[in-house]
Amino acid sequence: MRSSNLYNPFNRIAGFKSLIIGLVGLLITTYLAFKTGTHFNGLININFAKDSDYWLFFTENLSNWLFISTFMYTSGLILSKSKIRVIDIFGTILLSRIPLIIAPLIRLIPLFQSFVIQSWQMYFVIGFYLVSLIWTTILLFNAFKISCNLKNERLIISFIISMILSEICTKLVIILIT
Amino acid sequence: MKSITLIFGVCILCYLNSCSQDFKKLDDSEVDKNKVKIAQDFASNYLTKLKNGEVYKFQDEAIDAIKNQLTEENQKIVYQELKDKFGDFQSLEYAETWAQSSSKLQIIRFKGTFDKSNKKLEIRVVLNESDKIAGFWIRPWSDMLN
Amino acid sequence: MNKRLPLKCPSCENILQVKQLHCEKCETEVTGLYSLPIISQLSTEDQKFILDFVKVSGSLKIMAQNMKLSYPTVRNRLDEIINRINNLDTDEK
Repeated sequence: MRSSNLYNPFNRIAGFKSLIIGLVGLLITTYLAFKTGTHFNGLININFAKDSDYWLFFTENLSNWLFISTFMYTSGLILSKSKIRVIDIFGTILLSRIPLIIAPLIRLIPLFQSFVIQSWQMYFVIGFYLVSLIWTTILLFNAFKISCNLKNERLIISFIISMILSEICTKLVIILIT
Repeated sequence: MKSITLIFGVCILCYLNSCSQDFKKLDDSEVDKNKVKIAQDFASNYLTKLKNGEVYKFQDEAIDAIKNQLTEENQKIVYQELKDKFGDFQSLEYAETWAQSSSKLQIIRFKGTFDKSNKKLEIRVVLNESDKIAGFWIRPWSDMLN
Repeated sequence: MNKRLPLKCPSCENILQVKQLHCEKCETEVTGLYSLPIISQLSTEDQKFILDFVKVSGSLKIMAQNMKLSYPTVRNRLDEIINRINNLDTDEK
């Protein structure tokens, strides 16, 4: 597999196809997150607690996806000169979140289910999570870039603003429902 | 350079591991069911009494530090804060037991259900060597022991 | 042998213009100074893209399928070509 497919598969996959693959990824990640108590309670946050029902984990993942997609779509509408499609943005962004499956996968291993704070297990899991987060962020950036056809400062500034707004909104939703 | 980085990394890991070596999660076969019962009965009775508007009266099941901290007034204040944030206590279920080797303490963790919160809270009871309550916390549940 | 129409001056990089046209049948030669059509001033890849695009009746979806690329990638490519055409058009004016 070429390395560009790992960081930018969106030259080849977008639209409905990316949405379907992304949805499958979301459901599997959510199921594993529920099984292992891995909360994605923010765009870049992670928490380890087997403390709630499936629907809360699903709401967290769904909120993360919907908010960032909405803000990026809005940015695209305002800043892009191209005719952008909703399905491209929502689909590619959903696809970009697939690497986050790594942390709950690691936590399937009994050694990483319950551990002491600041133990090597914690750092091991956090380490893998950071790798998956960096990977997801690169994918998200490329998804936004290609789906909205934005370049240079417009791309970078709107990307950062969308991330910040999405983080705030997801946190608010989670506070409200818990 | 690579070997130095590797050795450095291993040293860091050993140091970090040593920070947590003191605690060990007990397997089901290692858990003393009697201790779990003591902890569960205490936590359940304590929270039920406060839920019903009463206060918990300590006998000799806890160490003096706990009794001095959880005076009748403090019990009501703390429970009210808990109730405002998470609602009334409903039930608790046993989760896991950790042992601290250096001090022979046992940390028994329960998952508590409260009626205003969609998340389970941790109800932590710490027992000393003589099975007396040496610690009692209620906090949001985390799979990480801290 | 496939020859490519040169677009830029090899000496000073300026856009070339047509000075002489030749009829192969009757050997007539026409001399003047004509600008190359805008489409001819685009790169070979861009010209091919435009031809393929017209052949599929302007369907980006079919273009994407044929090129095995995603729809937004093809759309972005088209937007870039539109941009270049607009710039050439402005330069000409």
